[in-house]
Amino acid sequence: MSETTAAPSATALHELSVAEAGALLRSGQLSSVELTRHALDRIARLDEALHSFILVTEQVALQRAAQADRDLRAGLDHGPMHGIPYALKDIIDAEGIPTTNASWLTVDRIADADSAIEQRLRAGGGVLLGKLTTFEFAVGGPSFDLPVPPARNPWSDEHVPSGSSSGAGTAVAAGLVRVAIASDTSGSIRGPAFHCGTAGLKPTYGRVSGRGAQPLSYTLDHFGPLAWTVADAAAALQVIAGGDPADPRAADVAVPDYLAELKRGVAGLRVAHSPAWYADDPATMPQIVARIEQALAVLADLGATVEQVELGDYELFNACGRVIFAAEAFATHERDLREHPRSFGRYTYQRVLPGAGIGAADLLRAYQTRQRLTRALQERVFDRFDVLVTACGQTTAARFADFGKDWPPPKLANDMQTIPFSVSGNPALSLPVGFAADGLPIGLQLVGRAFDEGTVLRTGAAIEAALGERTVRPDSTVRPADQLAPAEA
Amino acid sequence: MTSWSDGDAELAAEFDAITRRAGIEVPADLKDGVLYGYRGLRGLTALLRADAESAATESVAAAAESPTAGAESPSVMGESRPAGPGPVR
Repeated sequence: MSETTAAPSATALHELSVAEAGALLRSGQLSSVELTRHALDRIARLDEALHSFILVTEQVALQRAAQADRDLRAGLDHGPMHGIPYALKDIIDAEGIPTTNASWLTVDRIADADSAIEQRLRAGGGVLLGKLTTFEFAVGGPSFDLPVPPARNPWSDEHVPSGSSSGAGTAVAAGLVRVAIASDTSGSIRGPAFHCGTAGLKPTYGRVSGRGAQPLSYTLDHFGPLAWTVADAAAALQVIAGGDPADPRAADVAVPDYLAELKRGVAGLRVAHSPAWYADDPATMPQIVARIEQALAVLADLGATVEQVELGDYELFNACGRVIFAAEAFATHERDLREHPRSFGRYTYQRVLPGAGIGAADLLRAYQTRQRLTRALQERVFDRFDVLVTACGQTTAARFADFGKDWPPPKLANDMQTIPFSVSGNPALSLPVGFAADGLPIGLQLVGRAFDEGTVLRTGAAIEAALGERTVRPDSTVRPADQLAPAEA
Repeated sequence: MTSWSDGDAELAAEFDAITRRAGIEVPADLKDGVLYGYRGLRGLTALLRADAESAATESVAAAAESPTAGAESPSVMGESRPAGPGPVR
């Protein structure tokens, strides 16, 4: 970088938004190689304690960064992620690079082709920094009996970053990478986003192709970005969204200009909120309720109309989602459960095998209930409103010490409210809205109509701008793992 | 974790039969956690079954009260998903 330019100093490069970094790349004030080296340096310095990366693809990253710089100099601009470092949850394939799924079963597996997500990011000029820690097969964790240690929450090393996209939440919050791409089956993007204080978008089911990503639950698996800001998430979604003839789940629905959507504001937007699921529940931290109310007031001040609605029976959504999840996850792993039971982590085995007991009649009934609940959600909310504001989680992050040898952990509250929108398939954004009294992040959830991620994102951007919390980063002096008290495992 | 009690022996036998049919042998040290999960799922499927029966009853009652009774009605079994949110198959 030229010393005569006004570009930010090297220590602040990780604080550049995707759009800011892109503008500096395009103006020649910053190179992708500089941006990438900065990220690699931060990972080398901080990730020994955080464990957010399973693999750092330094050579690939520097090669792609150099190519991105050459392309820009030649006048080739591949879009909003051009020259921008990103990382993939380690269930998503990148050709020639291991996809371990954090499992002994696949610890040596090298991907023989790019996933659709990686294909699009690579074509979009993105720079792959590496593969991110996950719960085993995106389901079992946090575990200490896997080939890799669990990621630590960057706000407190005694706490779990949530999961299953644990490394994604940790890496983005710690400023190691601006954008991570992950999966969300019942809350695996939104949970880590909530507990680590990042934006996390589960797009509409089918908005992003799952080709080349390790399946967990075929009709519940969603793929999307965790990012430091809503605009960063929008930039990533712009690149990875779209149909895919090779994945029958991927919907061939037009992809709008999400970054343009962000500028539209929320005046005139019809906003629904439903406190019955969380505000009346004593398990919900009062700070979460207060911050959701503050966000609603922000939207009203900005010209949106806000009205309370009833969402129906939460327990039905939960039962429906968990039965489908269990049956489909068992189907995914049936052969290995039979042939290699000892190769799974204990949590994974104990969470997935019970699905063997879901019969065809129960599964069909769950699918029928899903249709009915989805239709009711449409009629009660999205026929009249543009976006729904509700809770994402009810408490701050759990402690590692809360997790014992076997699943389930004795003190783990069922505190996430993400599964209803996994069941319905609606786009849902976990948005940070500050911190609880214990200093850990809290957030809310914004839900939109199917394939209307643009409205969800612009609502999130408006709240984010008004609350102004995105300048606060976790303390980067997390203790090395060997200085931590061992968790019960 | 709640320990597996004698009163749950019937459920354990039921799950044993299921896994045996699937050719799966559950390691003894993992069994308690697995059975805990199975017991939870049984509760969830019972909830869905009760709800489906209730919805079917309501659907029949609504059809009987409808001025177009006898015409095709949107029962749970026969309903088609309208345009709107939901998984795209």
